[in-house]
Amino acid sequence: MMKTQSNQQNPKQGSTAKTIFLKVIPLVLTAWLAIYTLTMGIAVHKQVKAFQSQGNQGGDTLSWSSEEWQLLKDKTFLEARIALAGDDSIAMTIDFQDSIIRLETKGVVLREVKFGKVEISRFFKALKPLSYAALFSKPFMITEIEGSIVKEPIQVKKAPRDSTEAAQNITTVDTSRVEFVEWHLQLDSVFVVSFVQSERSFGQIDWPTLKYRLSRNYQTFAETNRDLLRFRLPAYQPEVTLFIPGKETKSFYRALPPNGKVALKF
Amino acid sequence: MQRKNKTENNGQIPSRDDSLPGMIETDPLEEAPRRRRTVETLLAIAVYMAFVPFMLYLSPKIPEMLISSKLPGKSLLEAPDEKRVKKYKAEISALEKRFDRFTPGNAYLVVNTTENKFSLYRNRKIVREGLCSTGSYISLEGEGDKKWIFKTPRGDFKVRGKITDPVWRKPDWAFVEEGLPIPPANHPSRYERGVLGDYALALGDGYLIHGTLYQRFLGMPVTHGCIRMNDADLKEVYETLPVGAKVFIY
Repeated sequence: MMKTQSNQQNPKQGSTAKTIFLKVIPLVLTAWLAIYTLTMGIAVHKQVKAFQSQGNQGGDTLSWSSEEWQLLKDKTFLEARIALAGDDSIAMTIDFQDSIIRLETKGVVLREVKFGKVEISRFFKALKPLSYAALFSKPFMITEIEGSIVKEPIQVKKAPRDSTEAAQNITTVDTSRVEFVEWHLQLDSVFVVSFVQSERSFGQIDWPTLKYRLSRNYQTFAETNRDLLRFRLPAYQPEVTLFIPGKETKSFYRALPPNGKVALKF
Repeated sequence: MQRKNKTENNGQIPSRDDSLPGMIETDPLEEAPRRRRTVETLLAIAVYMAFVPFMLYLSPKIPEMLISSKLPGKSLLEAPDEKRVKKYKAEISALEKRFDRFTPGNAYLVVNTTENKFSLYRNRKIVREGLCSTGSYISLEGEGDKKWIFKTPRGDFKVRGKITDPVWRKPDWAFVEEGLPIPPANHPSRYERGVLGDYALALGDGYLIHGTLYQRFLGMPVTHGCIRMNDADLKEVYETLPVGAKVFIY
């Protein structure tokens, strides 16, 4: 009798668990995905509108020819570079039209590299002239800079007790180590510029690079869900990804100071 | 196979054991709910498997798809406003001239500490490039709070002095690094000849551009902060850069 009752209770518990795992949780997750997509759409629309309204409070009633548009971009970029030259620190300028990325300090070009492949968010192509000029005539401040390699490869060494120990502890430079370089900048907490080492076989990756990518994706995942739980619109940060050779991308990453500045031209 | 009629089993529900051996038993009344449960299970698994990849990898793509691809250029005029074009061109020309003045017209040096390379410029053109050695990024920890980090500072500097046959005045870390006791400030053991090459250019704060005995390490980060070059490169740099010339290090 008792066995029959427990047999009857277990199936009920089992079916409750099944209902939760097979129906309730998937429904919640699906609803979450739908809410996420909807709120992201609203956030993007709002952000695009906010940027379009910069420098454009009365509405962009002027009509522009392609020649004027180009001249405006050239002028805007020069203004930003001159503003950068007023700073003591090393800065970066990226010209997407001529596909050139430069390291500059006090108006002097230290390094210039041509890049080939680039992925640009549609956001930047949707800007109107006056909004573009208002946004890009001043350099952006770097608010975050992170990568798959260390910024300063410091090695700690304890002072030897005597000359015998010093002779045994000669530090050597490891030239055989291969590093895959990927890093990104967040500019004014609004845009993201990512750099990926261009020469790499498909699928080839190392653990630090994988860790960096997972950490980045997880950070976006966590911040977005945190905003949704607090009934806030998630942040939308338009992104650009550049593919440049490993040596150059490493030099640029290590040269830029954490609070450096960047000027862009689209 | 049909179930036996209840009444034929004296009112009892026939069990599966009542089936004849070798016969496959399917109950059409149970088939539809079983199929539904299978579909539900598969759907649930699909949602579980899709959720994390979606949130991590696909969700950043959603904003891109939502932005209109309509370019402002589509509403552009064909004929430009000549007055505005002229005004912009004049402004751009003035800005270009202003920007141009930032680059030194005379000689200057650029050093890349990541690749350990240098470029020597004169009249805004590269006249010489080559390998050098810069800071090793070793952090030496001595007794107590004594600590030194051997890195070449970044930024713009000026040549503050030029020296021939330089003598190295060894700082404290040079003795600590070798496990030797630190001598007094002007002790003779502090001075070493012939290790800095034929020339040296002082950049301030004790940093020098000088020669080296360890030419096989050129191109590697092995110094204590100074910039080392081979004899030929050092000679050209020494002869090209006057006192006051700019040195940019990145």
